[in-house]
Amino acid sequence: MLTKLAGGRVYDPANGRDGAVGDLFVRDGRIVADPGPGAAPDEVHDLSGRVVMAGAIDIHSHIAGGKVNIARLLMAEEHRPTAEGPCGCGGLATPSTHATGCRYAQMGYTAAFEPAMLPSNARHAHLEMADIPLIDTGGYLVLGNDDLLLELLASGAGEEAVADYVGFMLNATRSLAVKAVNPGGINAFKYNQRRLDVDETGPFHAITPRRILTALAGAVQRLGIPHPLHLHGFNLGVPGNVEATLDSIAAVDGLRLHLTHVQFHAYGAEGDRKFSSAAARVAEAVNRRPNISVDVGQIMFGQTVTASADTMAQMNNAGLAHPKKWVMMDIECDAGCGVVPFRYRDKAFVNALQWAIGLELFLLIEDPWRIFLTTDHPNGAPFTSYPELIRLLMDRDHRLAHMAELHPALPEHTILGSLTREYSLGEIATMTRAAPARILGLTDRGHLGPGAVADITVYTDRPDRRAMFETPDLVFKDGRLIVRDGVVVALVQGRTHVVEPAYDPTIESWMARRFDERMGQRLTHFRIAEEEIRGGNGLLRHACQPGAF
Amino acid sequence: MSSLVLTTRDPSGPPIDMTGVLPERLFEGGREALAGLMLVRGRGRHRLDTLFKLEDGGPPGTLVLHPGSAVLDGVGTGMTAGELRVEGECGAYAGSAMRGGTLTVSGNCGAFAAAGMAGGNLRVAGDAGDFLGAPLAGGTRGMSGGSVVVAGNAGDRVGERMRRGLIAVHGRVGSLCGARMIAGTIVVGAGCGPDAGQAMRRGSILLPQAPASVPSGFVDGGMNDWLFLDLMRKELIDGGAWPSGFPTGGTRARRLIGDRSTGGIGEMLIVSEV
Repeated sequence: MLTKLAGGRVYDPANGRDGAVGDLFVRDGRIVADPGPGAAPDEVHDLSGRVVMAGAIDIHSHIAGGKVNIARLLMAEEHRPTAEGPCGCGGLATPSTHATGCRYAQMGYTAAFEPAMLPSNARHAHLEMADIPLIDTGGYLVLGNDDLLLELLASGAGEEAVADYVGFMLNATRSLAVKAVNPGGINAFKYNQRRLDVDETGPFHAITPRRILTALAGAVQRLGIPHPLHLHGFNLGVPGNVEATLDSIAAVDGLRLHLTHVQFHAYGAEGDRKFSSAAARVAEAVNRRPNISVDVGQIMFGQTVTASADTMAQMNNAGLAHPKKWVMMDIECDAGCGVVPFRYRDKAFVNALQWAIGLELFLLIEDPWRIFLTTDHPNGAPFTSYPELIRLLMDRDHRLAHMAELHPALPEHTILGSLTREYSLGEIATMTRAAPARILGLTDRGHLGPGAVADITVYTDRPDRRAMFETPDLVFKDGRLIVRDGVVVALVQGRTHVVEPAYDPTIESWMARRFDERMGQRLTHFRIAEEEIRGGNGLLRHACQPGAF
Repeated sequence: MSSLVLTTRDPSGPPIDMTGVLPERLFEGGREALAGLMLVRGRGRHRLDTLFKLEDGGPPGTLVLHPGSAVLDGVGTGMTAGELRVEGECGAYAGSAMRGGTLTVSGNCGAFAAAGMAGGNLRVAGDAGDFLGAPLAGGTRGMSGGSVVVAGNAGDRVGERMRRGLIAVHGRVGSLCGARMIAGTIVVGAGCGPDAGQAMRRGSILLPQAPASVPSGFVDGGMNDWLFLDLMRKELIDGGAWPSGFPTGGTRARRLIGDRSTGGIGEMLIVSEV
């Protein structure tokens, strides 16, 4: 079947198109070149004056796994029927799997990636991701506090052995990338430590976070995994943590590194309130180093829930829980997490400055290919706030008007008011489509060139960018129309993106012994079979290129 | 002032979520608004007038459900004003999150009745299930206002984490009555199951006799004269909340104080040991 999308303004940064009017052709779920005047399309959509982009890709959103379910349980009030509607699909912060897929698709997203899949929870996370309709998914494997890796490093293992370990774990858990969450810190928390800096030796394995960080970044490089090490940095939320963030950038010494929710790691401890913006220092470091990319983790005001494997940070935040309830689960295990409900208040100085720091990062980091639009759903805000965030980036007047309503001391503590940059539609298309696909190694997504998967979103160009991005006119997934005028019209299933790097299998005998002795399950049971994911019909493998990055 | 009788067309079968079927809608949109309300029954959504026959009648400002049925869940959930009468029994969550008005059930009601209630009156002529006046799922507080009178018995965890208000059960209650209670008053007419008042902080539980085994965190404050009992008795008798087995005069009662294991200074008043 041939479908023609005629006359839209195409924003496709990966192929150098920035709003030029053109036609797109879709055949069998993929975009094809213009078949010529002789071909008769079976279906034609007249998109004159409309904005056409690839389906958006969320690089960092907590949509599955243990902590998400604990958050749903803890926030049971979000799932109650109300007089307005009996649906128990969940509120904004803890939507059900079904609601997650529908709400993403309704905003024009066709892929979202779970950035914190703990090895022991991987099987469950995959089952849950497969239950999310309409969008592609995948998981980043959390390493860096697992005892096997730390033991390996402490024993003086070489880069090759670490890379083999990481390679095995990625294959076994069917993951797309490697994430490190406060590497070394969570392990130190198990021994009652509340803070661990980059060059501080851990209490049990006697290795520093710097060693773990460089080992993992090196292993990712060695294995040729497209996505750089995805780092949730040190001392999240602590004033003055910018030093650790800059140390992390320096520590990898030119290796590729992705700093996630960097807004939470760009805090200074200066000024009369001992809490200040260090966005300019982080932005300057990122602008200077092409090996560094970031996603922001913008906060937006309102009720949400924070869920993280960083039990050390979550324990520090527990006293701020709103409503007053929180959970630290399995903190002695490899798959521990902390869930703390939180309400970001626009009249609170700290929250207002966090909001401004995030926007400063967006506006000061120059290259839209290396900065990504995220709220660290649900930690900074639910992903449904993306349209409002896009409006804040594209509309300076709106930004200033909003800023005027926040805590009165804010203007003295931020340079946000002086930043005149406004994102263009092309830059939004880059940071939400082309760049995420490129940095994850998804060669056939995030663009609209021939051969690309026909994940396409069509918007009406409205001056109110929030309204524009909130309700796309049409959304196609694999060439099939799934959303029309913001309403889901068809339910389809996405795919699970993975990498399968090559590694030396002799590491498995060492690991099998450790699993038998300590892990409570056999290595053979730990490994997830292809048939377990989407009934064996859902894996999408992406190539690794050792030495290419 | 309008009124309406809803006759349940099929009182058996899958449960019906009655959330939103409230007497205040009589004032807001009248009969038409109620008739067009979409309700969940089992896995499907249905218009209210396909599940109930609507007829004018009943006292002004009153919504009557006839006959009641255990399949009717969430009757009076979130109610703020007016009167809702159930002629017969109803299912779980009757009067949950209620903030005002009066809900009357002439039969039994299920679990979580008055859960998360903040105001208004719930009157149950039969028995109530577990979690009467307890928190709703996800909530950190149980009942925070209003009054509940159950003529029959009630299940476990009556008044769990209760913050304010009155629960009176003329019959027996199950285990963990008033557990983790923060404040408020629970009156039990015919005795309670094990672990009453466990981890309670403040508040009062009135009992006809001491529990068979007094929880270990409670200390005996002895027999004393409590002048407030006269005032309280008058108030509760007026509200139909003074059990028939309780003494009709005198101010002496035995007081157990606890739960001291969690630093609590709540009380169990044994009113029949005068």
